[in-house]
Amino acid sequence: MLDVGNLRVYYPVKVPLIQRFFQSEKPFVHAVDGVSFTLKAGEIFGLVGESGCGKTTIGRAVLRLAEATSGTIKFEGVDITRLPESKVRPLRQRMQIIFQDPHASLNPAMSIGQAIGHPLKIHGLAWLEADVRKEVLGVMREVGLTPEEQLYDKFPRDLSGGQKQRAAIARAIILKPQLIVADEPVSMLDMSIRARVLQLMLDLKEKYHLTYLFITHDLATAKFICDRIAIMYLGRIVETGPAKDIYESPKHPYTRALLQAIPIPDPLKRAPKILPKGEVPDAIHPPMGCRFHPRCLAVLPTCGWEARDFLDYLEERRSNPEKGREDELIIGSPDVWKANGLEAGRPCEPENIAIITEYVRSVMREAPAPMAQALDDIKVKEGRIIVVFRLPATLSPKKVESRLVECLLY
Amino acid sequence: MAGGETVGIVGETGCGKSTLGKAILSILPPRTRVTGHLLFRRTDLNTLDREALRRLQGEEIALIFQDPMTRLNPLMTIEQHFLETIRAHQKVSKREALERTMAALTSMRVPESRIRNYPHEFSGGMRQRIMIALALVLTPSLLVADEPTTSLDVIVEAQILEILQDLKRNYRMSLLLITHNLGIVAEVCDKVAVLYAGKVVEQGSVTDIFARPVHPYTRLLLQSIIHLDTKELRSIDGQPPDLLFPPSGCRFHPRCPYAKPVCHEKVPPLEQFRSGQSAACLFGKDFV
Repeated sequence: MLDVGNLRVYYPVKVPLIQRFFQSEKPFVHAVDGVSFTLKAGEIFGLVGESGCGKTTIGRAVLRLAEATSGTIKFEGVDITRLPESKVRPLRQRMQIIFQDPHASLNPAMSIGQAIGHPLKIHGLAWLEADVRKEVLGVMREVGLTPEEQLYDKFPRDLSGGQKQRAAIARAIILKPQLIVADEPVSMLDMSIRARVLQLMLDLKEKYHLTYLFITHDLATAKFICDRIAIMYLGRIVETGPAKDIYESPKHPYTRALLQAIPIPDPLKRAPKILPKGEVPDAIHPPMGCRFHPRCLAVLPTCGWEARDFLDYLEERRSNPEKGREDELIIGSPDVWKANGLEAGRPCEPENIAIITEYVRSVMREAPAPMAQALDDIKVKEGRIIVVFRLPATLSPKKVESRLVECLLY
Repeated sequence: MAGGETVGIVGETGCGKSTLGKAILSILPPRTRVTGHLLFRRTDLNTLDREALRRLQGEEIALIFQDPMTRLNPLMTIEQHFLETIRAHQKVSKREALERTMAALTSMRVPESRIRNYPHEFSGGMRQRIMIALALVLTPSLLVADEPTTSLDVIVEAQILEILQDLKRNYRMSLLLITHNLGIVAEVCDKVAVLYAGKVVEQGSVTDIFARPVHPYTRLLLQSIIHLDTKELRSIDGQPPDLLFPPSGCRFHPRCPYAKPVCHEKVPPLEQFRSGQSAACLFGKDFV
């Protein structure tokens, strides 16, 4: 039904004019950076990840609401990546979206009936008010927006969150689409009504043979509702496979970390957690090699160690009072270092070169083993001391049991 | 709440949990009608004058909010935030205040070197850690945390919860955790109070409430959580009530599958059903 191949979506970053004179490179947010997956008809496919991992951007790109920078999106065998808008419109009868925030996705000036019936008019499927009304009332009953006659003329502000999301679902299914992109459809809803909306989506899927691209940050919901899942991190899919298998034995260290971090609603199952440190880095300059490597608990010397990691390591030593003071005294603050790809360098007076080089060597020896082993050389060039890391190993998705995993462990 | 205890206040949108937190800090909007009492070590916070309250807030009771970005001043550096807070409460030299700032930040794993940065220069998790450091710099004995991890991703959320638990252990500080997430309550709290439509419907130890809830709302709410072992979707019929016109009698009766005619009329008192566990249900004994 849907075939996404090596999709990239980069958003340009707004840079003030003055800065543009000094910057040779245009910065981009690498929102989606080489993602491939296929959706079979009748399947619920989950895109799961933390905020900023690119899951929403993929959903939007699939519907052509975001422009793909490169790669292909095939819908029912037809490449729609570069289709002109005039040809995309009719396509949208067959692919619809449900947004996260029902308070924002419904026009406050349109009655519920108008909003749900609007797609019929846009696509020229019904013109007479009576026809639209009949169709809309039918869909409203279908999604449990009852009493439908009364709710028809109400406005979004008169409805509860759950009802609004039902209206959004009604609007999405009124055209009888094949594919629905559901972008966090229940995350804004209270726990006590979440299950009802999910159940509705499952019922509608059975009835109309829908296919869902289900986007969520909630692993528990994804596990329950999805057939297959792709776990995303910083613009890449790190693991894809049947939902059940991924939860039973996660392969990628990031998947493992995510699963471990979920709070378990059972006070008798409390257990200490081993969590990755830090947070998701920014997507303008994603880490080299595997993007998860700076935080990974199973990291290898070949995973992508680079100059920035060395600077972060110096910064981290700074929060240790003893080491921080010694570092500051001998090699100065981390700010004097400049990171450039695999090389971190700092200027140095000729008389201090020997001492500083030796000290940097000892600092690297104290570094966590995978990083220390990734060191290629510490050299002196044109009055600068340069720490050089080895090139990372190439990373590509590999088949591990029932899954595709992008990790050097396999 | 006893000293050193972690109590969870849990409930859905509009149940009054945040209002409760604000009441404890006396930061409700002007002209809010407040009755009853709020005893903090035998002092009724509702009767204190502004100056006494101001002294107590921050020094004894501190608050952290859901979204640190809206609570930190974007025009002030982290250093300025700390100096202002410390010196508003205590007469100390700038040097001492700075030293305490550094200690507080280091304990939250925020690098000292970033003390002159502005809030927008930090990541979400780092900002929340700064917020916690700022709340703790005056070593309060009670920390009220209103959805402290709701705007954070699951891994950072787990990191922050771990920090809060460490603090509790190391400083014997009491923590009142306001959240909608029952998973967090189960992992962090000793006791819990379940709120529905502005009233406590059940309270007790976390282990009792999760294993043997008495109130139908608590039971149904626990069943509606979608967790990794969920086999079947369950939900509670109906909608939370409009608090302008709360239902008569038991406020849960319109949604309660066990409601009887008397529930429409009689307001159920909070009664003890097991040692340390009480619920506000007229038919509580049937559910024990």
